[in-house]
Amino acid sequence: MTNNDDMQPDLEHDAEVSARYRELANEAAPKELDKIVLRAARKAASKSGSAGWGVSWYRPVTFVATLGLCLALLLEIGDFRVFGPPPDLSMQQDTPTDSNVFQDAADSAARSVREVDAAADESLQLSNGDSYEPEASIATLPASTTDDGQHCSKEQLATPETWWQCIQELQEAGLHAAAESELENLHKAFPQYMPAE
Amino acid sequence: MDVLTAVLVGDDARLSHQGSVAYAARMSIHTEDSALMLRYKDGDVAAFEILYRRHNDSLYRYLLRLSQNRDTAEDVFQEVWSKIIKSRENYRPTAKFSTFLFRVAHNCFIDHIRRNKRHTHSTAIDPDSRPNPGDDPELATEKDFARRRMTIALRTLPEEQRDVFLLYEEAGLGIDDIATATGVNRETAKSRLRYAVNKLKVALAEPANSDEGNA
Repeated sequence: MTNNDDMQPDLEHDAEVSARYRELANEAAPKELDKIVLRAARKAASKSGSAGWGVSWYRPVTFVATLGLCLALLLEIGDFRVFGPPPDLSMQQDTPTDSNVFQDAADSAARSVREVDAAADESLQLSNGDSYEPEASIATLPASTTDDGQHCSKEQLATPETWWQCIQELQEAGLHAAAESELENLHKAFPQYMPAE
Repeated sequence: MDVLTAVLVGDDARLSHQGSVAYAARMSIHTEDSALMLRYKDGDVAAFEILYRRHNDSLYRYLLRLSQNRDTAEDVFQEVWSKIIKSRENYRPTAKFSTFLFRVAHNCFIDHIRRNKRHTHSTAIDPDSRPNPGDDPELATEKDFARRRMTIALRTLPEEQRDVFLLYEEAGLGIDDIATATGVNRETAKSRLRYAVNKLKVALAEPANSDEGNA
């Protein structure tokens, strides 16, 4: 900010100098120069006007586009978090996933219930004096999980042929995991055994 | 709160209370200058025309008397306005527009001298000696003598001192603004102005005969 107080004493003395200076001819800028400058100003304004329009739409559009992308990204991430990834049904049959384990457990429980029912039927038959055919009964029993984690009965495990038959039954019953497990055990117990087609 | 109000409630309010109406008016004009420049920045050519009409003559006289050469003055004049036009996009009203304008003018003039080493005062301008139609012939002659003496006195000043004096008289800048425009510190600007004024006073006080001898 100008501190005019500093110049105040000088201004009093300079009044004459200033007045004399003011007496000099007040030359004005030539009209030609006025035209040149004003033309240049108009030209520059018209140029920047079009450039300005470019800038005026460019910035908001960029901002809105960025905002839109961010929102879309956030929604996408949100979807994944809320609903989780879609289940891959094709993998269910081939690999032992968590859902397969649950399925096997449910199957085992169902088999246990059926075994208990069968045992009750047997005891009923015995009490009624009917003939008892343990071999046939065991053979026709659906595969179940024993205490040592096996799905086939001891009788079925006695020979590779009966074991293989049990595995086939498990396959037919849709217990693929159990069948695979039994197949592995079969290969371990009888490495030389080749099932007949 | 606009700039003028801010100025009036600030340190310079005392100037207003002292009845310095001219100062307040000058600030008002400067505020409008900045506003005009900002309007031109937004594409308002009419605003630039107003701004140009306000400053074109004083800028021209400043350059004419500083350079003592009409061609140089015209060249630099165009260059200055060209730079002002180009700088509109980056213009910020941080200082008075006149300070900004005359700083550009000062720099353009210095650059012009550096580019044209042949710059001399040999084609010095003559004062306009046309008498006013209503003037008494004797009075007209006296005025003509006074003009000549002033022109010669100005010509004899060192360029820096002439520059500062012209910024003070033509641009109406204060010491701080002169310092800003010329790129020197406040004390240097003040000192140059004092020297210039004292020399002019001495030159103007000399008898008319010596003027004629010098001329």
